[in-house]
Amino acid sequence: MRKHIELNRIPKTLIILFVLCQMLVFTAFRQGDDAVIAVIANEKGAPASLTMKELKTVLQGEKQRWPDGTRISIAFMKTSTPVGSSTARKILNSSGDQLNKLWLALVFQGKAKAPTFFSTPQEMETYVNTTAGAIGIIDASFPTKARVLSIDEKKSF
Amino acid sequence: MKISLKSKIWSTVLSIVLMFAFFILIYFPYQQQKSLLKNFNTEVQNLANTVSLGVKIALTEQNFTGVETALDFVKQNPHLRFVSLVQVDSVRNPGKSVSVTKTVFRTYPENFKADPNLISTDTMVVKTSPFSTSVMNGEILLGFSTEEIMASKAEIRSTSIVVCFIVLGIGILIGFFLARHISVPVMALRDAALKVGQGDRTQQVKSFGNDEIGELGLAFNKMVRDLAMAESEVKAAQDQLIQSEKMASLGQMTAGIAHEIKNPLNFVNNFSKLSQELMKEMESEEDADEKLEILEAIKGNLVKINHHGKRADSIVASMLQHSRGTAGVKVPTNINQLCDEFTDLAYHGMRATVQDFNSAIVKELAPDLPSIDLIPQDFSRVILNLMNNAFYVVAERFIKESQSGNSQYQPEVRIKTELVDGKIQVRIRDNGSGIPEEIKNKIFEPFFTTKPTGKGTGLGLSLSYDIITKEHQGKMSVISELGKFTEFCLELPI
Repeated sequence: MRKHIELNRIPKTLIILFVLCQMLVFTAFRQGDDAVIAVIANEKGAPASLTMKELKTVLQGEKQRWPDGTRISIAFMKTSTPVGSSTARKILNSSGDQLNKLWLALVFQGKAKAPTFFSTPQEMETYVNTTAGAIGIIDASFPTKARVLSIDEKKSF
Repeated sequence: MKISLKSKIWSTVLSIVLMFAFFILIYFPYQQQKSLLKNFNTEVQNLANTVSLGVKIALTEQNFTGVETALDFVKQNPHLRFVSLVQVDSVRNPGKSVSVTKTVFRTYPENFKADPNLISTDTMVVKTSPFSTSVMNGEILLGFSTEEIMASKAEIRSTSIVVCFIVLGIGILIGFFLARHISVPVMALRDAALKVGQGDRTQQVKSFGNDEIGELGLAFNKMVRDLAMAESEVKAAQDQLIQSEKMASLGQMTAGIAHEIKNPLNFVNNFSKLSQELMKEMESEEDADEKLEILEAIKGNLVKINHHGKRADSIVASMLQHSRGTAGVKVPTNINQLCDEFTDLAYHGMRATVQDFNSAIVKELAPDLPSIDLIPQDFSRVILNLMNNAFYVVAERFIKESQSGNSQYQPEVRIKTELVDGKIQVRIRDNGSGIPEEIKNKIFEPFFTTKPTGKGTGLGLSLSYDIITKEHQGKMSVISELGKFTEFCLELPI
């Protein structure tokens, strides 16, 4: 009973400040939790380096073929994975749901070939290696044997 | 109302064809269209469900392969009008009520202006299939053109019309077939039967095949042949009966004839005997004048012998004429003479068969009657029949009255001839027992008789009636009062 009385004496402003600090810390933690990602591609199709803008164009389905004419096949990690959500946020500046809706709209209207989503980097690596024109976003720490593209001259970001 | 067999056959065939046409043109197409539409609706709904499931999987599992395949399948369908992804949002209003808003998220093809509240029309089937995911809630709106159904309907209709015409053609062929194989033979049978009914016994129908109608034709032909044979047998029997009737009346007449011939024969005998005696007397006579006188007497006797011989000859001729069976020829005849002779013949015939029978005979024969063309042997048979009957009934009554001790009854038979309105009437009247009213209209029927068996054939009046009415175009009638009289009247045109 006494403790309650003491709590009531704490100013409301202080409580609000405390809550905001907690949110800030959580957000910082989330930012710090972002996975470092890398772009891998099949030997055929994708050029060795791309700009972030070009990469965004490709991943938003706005571009269907590589300069050599190979059809682009996009591979994503599922947005339920850290790499998947990081991919949406870092490259497309959107949430996983928005990514889904974006691609649903594209597929629905037949404007782009649907991307393939994977649960593990191994599956994705295998897919990219075996599919001509494939491009995928993978955890940079994953020891991949696939060709890693430079994005804005960086191998990972 | 008389409906011919042909009409009935055609009505039946047309009814069946019309019923068939109704089913083919209306009922079956309607059912097929209904079934097609139902299947089409189900198909569109299944497609909508498939796309909806694909969307759900795409949004929850991030597997877009399903929705892509389903959409590819839908888009390949040439009857697709549109497929829309409708987002459904629940909005809480200020009054805490919840309203649902539907927004078209995407539509294929893009240029189609899809309304989230579209419903099916005659030209388009619209189906919805809802889905619910954590990303979004919504429904798939799928619109398919009913052109295919319409095309199918048109095809069914044109096929139905063709089939209907084929059925109509087949119906007409069946009608002709039935008419030819049933109606025509039956009408031929009817016509032949009518002609047979009119007396033509030579009718035969041609063979109609081996079916029941063919058998009917054969049976008909046999029936007509049998009928003709039976008729000829009946005719022969009738002729035999008529001959028997003639012979019976002849037998009855014989006694009368004997009596009639006896008189002239007596005269012939007496005058010939007298002539013989006169010849002897003349031989012994020497006086020439006496001889001449005797010779004159013999001459007179010979004339009388000749006269009575002719008389006997006439009686025999009448008898022969009566019994002759061949059809006679009409010749001018003195009716009075004929009535006179046959009245006497009948009377003496009756007297020969009934002992102690006497009857008054009153002959009122008009002297100025002209000769008319008659068949004498037939007309004499009529007079003889009527007279025989008259004497028979008065004799019967005489016997009956005598047995009951009544001696007051005097049998009387009258015959009267006269010229009335240019026609000759012969009336034969007796004062017998009369004819009961109930049998008066039967007495001219063949084989009808009131006489005991063996005494009458029942053909006398029937034949007499035919002779007067058919052979001589006359009339024959009877009037009678029970217990008082019967009078037959013959009327002959001149």
